Amino acid sequence: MMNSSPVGYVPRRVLTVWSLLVGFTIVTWLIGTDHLFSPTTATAVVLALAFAKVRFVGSDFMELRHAPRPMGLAFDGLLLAVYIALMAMYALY
Amino acid sequence: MTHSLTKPAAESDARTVRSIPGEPGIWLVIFGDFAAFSALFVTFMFYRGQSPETFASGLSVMNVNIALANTLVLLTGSLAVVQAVGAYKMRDAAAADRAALVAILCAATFLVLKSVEYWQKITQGFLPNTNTFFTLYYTFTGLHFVHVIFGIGILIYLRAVMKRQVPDTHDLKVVESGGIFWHLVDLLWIVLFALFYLVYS
Repeated sequence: MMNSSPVGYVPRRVLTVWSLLVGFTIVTWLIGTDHLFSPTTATAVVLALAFAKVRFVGSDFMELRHAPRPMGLAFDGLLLAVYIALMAMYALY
Repeated sequence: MTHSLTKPAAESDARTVRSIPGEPGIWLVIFGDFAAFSALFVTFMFYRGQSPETFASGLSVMNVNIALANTLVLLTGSLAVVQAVGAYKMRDAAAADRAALVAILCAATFLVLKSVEYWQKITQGFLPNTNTFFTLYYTFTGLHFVHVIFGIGILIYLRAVMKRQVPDTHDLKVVESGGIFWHLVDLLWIVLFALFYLVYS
């Protein structure tokens, strides 16, 4: 059975999310500095991971996952719109 | 016997009743601020497309190691804020105060590291008027710098609120709202880190 007890006063899920955020940060740093991929692929992945991190901060740190659904959907919609706008600007200009 | 101000964290994870975290008004600040910064992010991408060579040369002299350290520092600060709010809800004022202090120290560390980075850039001759990349770099990260200072002020205020012997019924929402603002500071840096230090040009 999965242990869901909090660590200190931090829910275990939030601690897991924090570990993921640190992991994503290291991955984006590696992709952004090692230049292993084409510029467009690297940018798409780095920004996708950055916005995934932002979504985790919103859902678990800001507790949007417990908020009324329209708030969570508005947040997700804003993130998606900004990601698409950034990638469109990157690809078109 | 202690009484929690809300349900325990593990129990609250399973709750089905949805409610707005913090004061409803704080979400106007969060969405408004994020939307304003989003316009700045798109502006960055537009100018990158106008002069990719300038942005490539700007990226090549950025200190990504300091930025990486600062990202991890802010994430740790956010975790400390979650601990502070959780401890306050369970009426453990001492633990809440300690966690808020850790968050303040993380924020101060960010400001020191960012100042070192600014100093490096200035002494290397990269000033706000050097080119478009550095104009945007100093403007956007400077705005975020101000957010961090404001966040420290809020965390100091929250420490005072959390120490109250007789909490006001409104205090929980104030503490939650302060925590949410701090997470916005973390969230904005996540995108700035990607744009100014990692996006190829």
